[in-house]
Amino acid sequence: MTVVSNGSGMPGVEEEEGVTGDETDTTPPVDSQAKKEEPSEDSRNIKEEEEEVATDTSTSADTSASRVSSRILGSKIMWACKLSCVLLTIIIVVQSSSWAITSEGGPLMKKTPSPQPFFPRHSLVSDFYTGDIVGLTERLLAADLSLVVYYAPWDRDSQLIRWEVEKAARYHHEQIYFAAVNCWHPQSECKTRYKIRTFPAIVLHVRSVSGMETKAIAYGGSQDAGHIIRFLRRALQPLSHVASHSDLAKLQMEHSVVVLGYFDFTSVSHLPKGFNSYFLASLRALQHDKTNSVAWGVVTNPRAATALSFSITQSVHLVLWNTTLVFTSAASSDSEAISNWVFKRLDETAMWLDVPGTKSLTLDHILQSGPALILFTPDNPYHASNDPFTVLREISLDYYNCDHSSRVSNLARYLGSVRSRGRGQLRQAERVCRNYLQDQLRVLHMSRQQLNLKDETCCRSMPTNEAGTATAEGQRKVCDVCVHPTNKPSSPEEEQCTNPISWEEESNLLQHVNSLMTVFSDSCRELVLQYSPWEHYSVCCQRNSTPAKGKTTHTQNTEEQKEEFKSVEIAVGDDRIEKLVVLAAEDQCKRLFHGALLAPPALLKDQHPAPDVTGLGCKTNRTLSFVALDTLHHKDVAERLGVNLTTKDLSNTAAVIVDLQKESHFIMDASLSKMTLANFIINYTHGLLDRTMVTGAKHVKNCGSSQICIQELTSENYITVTQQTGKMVVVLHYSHNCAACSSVGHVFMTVAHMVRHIPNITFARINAPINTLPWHLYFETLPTIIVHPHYRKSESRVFDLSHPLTPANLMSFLVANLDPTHRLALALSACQDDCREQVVQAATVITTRLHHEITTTTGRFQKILDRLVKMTEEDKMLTDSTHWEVHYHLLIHTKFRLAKEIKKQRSRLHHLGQIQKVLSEPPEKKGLPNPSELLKSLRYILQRSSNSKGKPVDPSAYHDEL
Amino acid sequence: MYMEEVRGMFYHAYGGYMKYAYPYDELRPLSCDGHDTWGSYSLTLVDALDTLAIMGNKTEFQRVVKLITDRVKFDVDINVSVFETNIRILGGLLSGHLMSKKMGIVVEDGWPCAGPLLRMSKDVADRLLPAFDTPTGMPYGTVNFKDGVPEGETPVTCTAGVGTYIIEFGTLSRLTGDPVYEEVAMRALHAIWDHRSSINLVGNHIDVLTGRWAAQDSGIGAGIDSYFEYLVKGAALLQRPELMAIFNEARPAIDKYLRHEDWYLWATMTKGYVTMAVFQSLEAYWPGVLTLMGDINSAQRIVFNYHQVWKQFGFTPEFYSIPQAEAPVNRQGYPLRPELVESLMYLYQATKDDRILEMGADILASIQHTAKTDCGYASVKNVNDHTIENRMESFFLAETTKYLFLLFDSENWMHNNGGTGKIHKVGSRECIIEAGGYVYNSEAHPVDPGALACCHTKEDDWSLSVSDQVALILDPTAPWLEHKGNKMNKEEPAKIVEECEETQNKPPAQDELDKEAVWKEDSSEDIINTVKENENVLTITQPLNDVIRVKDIQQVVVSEPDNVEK
Repeated sequence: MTVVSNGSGMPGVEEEEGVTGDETDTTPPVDSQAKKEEPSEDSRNIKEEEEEVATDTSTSADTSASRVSSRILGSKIMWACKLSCVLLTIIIVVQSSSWAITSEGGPLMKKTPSPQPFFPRHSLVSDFYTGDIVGLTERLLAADLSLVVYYAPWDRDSQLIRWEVEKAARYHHEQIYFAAVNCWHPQSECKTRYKIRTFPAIVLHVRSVSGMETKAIAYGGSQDAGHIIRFLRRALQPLSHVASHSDLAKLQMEHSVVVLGYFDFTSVSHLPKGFNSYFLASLRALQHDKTNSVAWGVVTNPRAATALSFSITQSVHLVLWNTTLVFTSAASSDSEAISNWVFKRLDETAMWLDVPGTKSLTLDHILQSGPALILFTPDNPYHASNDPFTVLREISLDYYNCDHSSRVSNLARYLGSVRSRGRGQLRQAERVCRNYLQDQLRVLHMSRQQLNLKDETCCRSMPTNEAGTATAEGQRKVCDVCVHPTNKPSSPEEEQCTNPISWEEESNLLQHVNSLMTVFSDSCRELVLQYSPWEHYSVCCQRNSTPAKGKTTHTQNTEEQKEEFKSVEIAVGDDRIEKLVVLAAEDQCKRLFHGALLAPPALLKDQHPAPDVTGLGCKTNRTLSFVALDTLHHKDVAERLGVNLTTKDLSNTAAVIVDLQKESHFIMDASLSKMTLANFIINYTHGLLDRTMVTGAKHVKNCGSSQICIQELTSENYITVTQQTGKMVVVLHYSHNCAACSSVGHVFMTVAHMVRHIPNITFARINAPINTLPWHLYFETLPTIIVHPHYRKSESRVFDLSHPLTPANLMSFLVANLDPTHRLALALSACQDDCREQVVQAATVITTRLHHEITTTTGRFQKILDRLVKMTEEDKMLTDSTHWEVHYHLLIHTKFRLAKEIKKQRSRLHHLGQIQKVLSEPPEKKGLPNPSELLKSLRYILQRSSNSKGKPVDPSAYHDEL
Repeated sequence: MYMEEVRGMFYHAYGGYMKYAYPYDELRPLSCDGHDTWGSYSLTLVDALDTLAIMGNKTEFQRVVKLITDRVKFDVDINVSVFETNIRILGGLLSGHLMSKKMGIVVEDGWPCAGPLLRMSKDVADRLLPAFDTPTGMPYGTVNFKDGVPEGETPVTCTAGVGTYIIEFGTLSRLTGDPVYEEVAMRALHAIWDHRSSINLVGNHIDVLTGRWAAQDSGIGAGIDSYFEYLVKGAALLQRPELMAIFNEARPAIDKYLRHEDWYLWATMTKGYVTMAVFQSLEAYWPGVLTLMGDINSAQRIVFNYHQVWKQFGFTPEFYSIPQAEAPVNRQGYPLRPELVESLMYLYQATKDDRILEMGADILASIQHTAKTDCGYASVKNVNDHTIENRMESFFLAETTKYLFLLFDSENWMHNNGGTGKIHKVGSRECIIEAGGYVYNSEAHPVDPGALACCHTKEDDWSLSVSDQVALILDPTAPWLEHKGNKMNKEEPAKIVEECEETQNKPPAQDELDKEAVWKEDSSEDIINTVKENENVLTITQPLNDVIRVKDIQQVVVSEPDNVEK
């Protein structure tokens, strides 16, 4: 195994090569020469030889050790430690005042202060905050499984992971040892031993069979309690026993790939050869299998082996969706070889995408290789299976089943049938949980009664929001918030709260109370969510005003199911079995509760039969790949594709087909079911889907009086706004992040402000990247200003950005696209004294000239008319001469032209007259009276332009005019 | 939540400075006193001024403006760095000036083209100008506030020290109407580009007298960084496409020779051979620039790399050797630099990707954990062991806290991208200010491009020129050939104004004769046009009237049946 550790800062502990994201693309080409490999398996193991206790063992090691021996003693020692810590800090303060190098005048510096505890005092996680690896190793060798967080105190992720690890510890602390070690502090043992690039590194240490060393398995999944717990659950039970075909099928239900190993346990008294490697391989697989898609099964007896077509013991099969591969050299391979063999041959029709928080091209690779159907759905780590994803698997199995293999279609059908029983199974689980809770409540009630009033002084009742909706019996819901001793002993009130209950008891109580929340209302559950071990609050909610705890809750809830509960009690006889049942129920409850907090179970039942998609993938050249993305972590991806996750029936679930080549994506409108998904795929294959137009959110801005606001368009209203006849719409296509776009905002607004009095001109803008528009309105460069003219909407024009975008240029561009009426209105509204003078002057000159022109033109017109008359007379003499014909037409044509000209000149004259009248009005009537009135008085221009400038389409029309 | 934490961080450091260090340049956060560093002009106070505005503290802003105008003097005999004085002092004064109105200060008539802070800026800039008096136009690195360039001053300046003036000087020119500042800044910018190598790379130090490169290593980091930054930002702020053109020429060379995967290395400017495979803390501005010009994809990829470095140490060391994944000796410091946060802020505005916010939170957490002292925030001397030293650069208050605040406060008015503006009257002109599109200088001092337009633009650039107005009023139907924004062939340069004048001057008879002579052509042209219309190939080159006419024809056609009936 040689995964390059590189300069890009790959996450993970250096000594534990290849623990993390293989997909990350951060490897610079230059660094392969300089990296140092630590390839040997041994270096990964923490050796026992380093076990001897260092003389300067930190206090924390003592603390944690003592906790095992005796709880009471432990707490005493902790107090002692705390005192010594205080002393220590005092010493440090005294020392630190000496860092100032005053005499030499050299640079003043301050070293990092000595390490402080990172986890809270009562944490279930042992905190080796001095980086004491020796002490840690000692503890690791005392437990089968240990989860260790290598943290840096300054690192935010490390700070955050505390909560999550704490939660996981509360879940699993009975089976697994939880520890954390400061692996950053300079000169600490951990820092000198390990080089960690990305904190925190979470590592599961598995004690080897010999008990002398541990095997490290890095955890690379999401850093939340749920996923850590799922990882630990699998680590506790990496292998499933497979005794029959139905066991295999069950594994296939929850995992896309199943690895089966056959080891004959019947004939030998000790472990079969090779089993240990296989077991380790299954553990090792955990660090690659972040999406929980591979199950590891073991077959132990020959009969089952034959049924599953195993021929020899110590062989490994890889059961894929359409085939089974056999690993022949399994017996001689070590764990690494086995897991490598498996992971090189994975083949899934549909898979969860593992998108880490770090740089990753996973999604990119999939999308670049062709169109992909992405299913967005919550991947709830507390749920064994996920119906939307199962549906996706069913469909993908059929989709790729080109040769109509019965094995594949059977698997698909089996998945469907198990899925249909999902609701019943959930009910069953809930029933078991409820019974368990009722039982626990009694215990809780009793233990609470034993604790005396000391505890109660710290509890405060707080009525919840639902107090108003009191029930018929007049009961009010009350949540008690209990303040437990905090780390700050300064406040005397809190000191009083220190009670003799040990942390263990407390946490047990808390756990029960937490579990109870599933049966309570939502508002109480919210309070639980706010609970954090750091603040030392606990919350217990009841539907009664009596402050006594547990009691009434108990009675109220048990009434209905009392009988059921009894029957369970009677049925259970054997002590050990009873214990197991209780444990299983507790586990069931915890998962239900925590799962419900994350996301409600998504259940899909087929209402209608789905259309057949068998083999569709091979009949088209637009073959889809199927992936699922967890919306608990990657909601933003869906949102950026324009998927509204909240409106769907199934919460946070949606299906999208992304086709990069066509730069298009398609969102499934219908709510998810097997039928709708199949139809969606079929429609896509036949090209029947419409590209999804993403629409940006509409911002309603408050526009103040002295403010100017530009209307914000979206892809929804773009067409309706811009295509209104009679309205000219100027649209700025911009991108919210480009500097060139936002820095011209003021130019656009300035022009909008200047033409504000001109009717029927609208200024608007649209954020192009988040609003999909039809292709013809897609611009390569932004900003782009486009004018949709008043009438001829197909004549839209785009501002040429090789000119600087100044108000004047934009204005000129507008004028070019305006009709004469609006032009005139615009010019008049801008016309100041200077301009008036010039206009009046020029108008006089031009008027004179026009009069002169009209006279000459009329004269010429008269001449032409005369010649025409003459020609008609000649006509009689020279009948069929072509020359005459040409001449005649020429004359006719000239006649029209001159007539046109006269008309034009006359109307210009008229116009000038009007202008002079308007502009020579007394100067105190500055600006222009009323723009609309003004326009009314100038209406004639539009008419004039239509008459005089119109071309002689039909000469007869001109005949009439003449 | 993070936003409030940043606010607290700013006030802790600002309060410490005011209490212990003012009127010195900087606070010393370990010894809790002050000292002068870049000059003796209360640097931190000037630098932090607009951060107060961005955090919305009007009263303190007003108090500080008064402090600055009353107390800060530049008529002193000190040698200062032209570059640092420009970005920190000049930039700080200008942005403070432009924000005055919004911060509730009663501004004088003619603001933003006049005002006390603007006069101070002009004073500072005038004292910097002597540095630009070189044969090449590239400025010296140091200048004396009283006597100009000191005797025996080295002529070698870094590239960034030559090309990082256009935002401040351009702003000053446009506000005051004195073009000299913008001219010298442009000249220096162009001079650098004129000295580029044959493969379009620039070195990092140059002799301003001879134009010879003193250091030929090319990269995007120290010594060169803000040169590229100012090309993009200057183009946007001052509407100078020629600057963007330079950047667009430089970028392919950078990507070709310097970019390896998503890292940028150092290479010789002549051949492009890699000399140093390091990432520098200063380079982290680059994704921000890429975001501003729209290349979000690259920006994201690069930022992820830089963030990995941050995660490894808790800070970005000044140098980070990419092959060794370590910070080289003596380059292990982190003086609370803002560049990574700056890029994150731009990128978050562009993508709204929560992952970016988390990166910002990582930065916040490390600084809070390690750098905070009793009276401020201390520079990190060594990112390996988080030793801190007795210095707090003024850019911590000017940039780091500002960008962090803006990153988390996504609704801040600074993020206005041109949707709303305010109408402001200067003289007879109504212009739009606070319309967004703020361009931050290298020290994160924002400039409002709207305010520049208020003062700068000539009347002709502002609106329709008077002659255009006259022409339009006289004949609104005349073809509008000079529609500057329209894409058109340049075949018809004839201006309407000229036409008018011609017609006025020429005797009508002559005009008439001409028309007579070409009338045949006229008619044939008509025919061509008609054909075009029938084929529906109206091109933009056609005068506008034709377009209108088509509509009119339609009207005529519609009205025809009426005629027939009559």
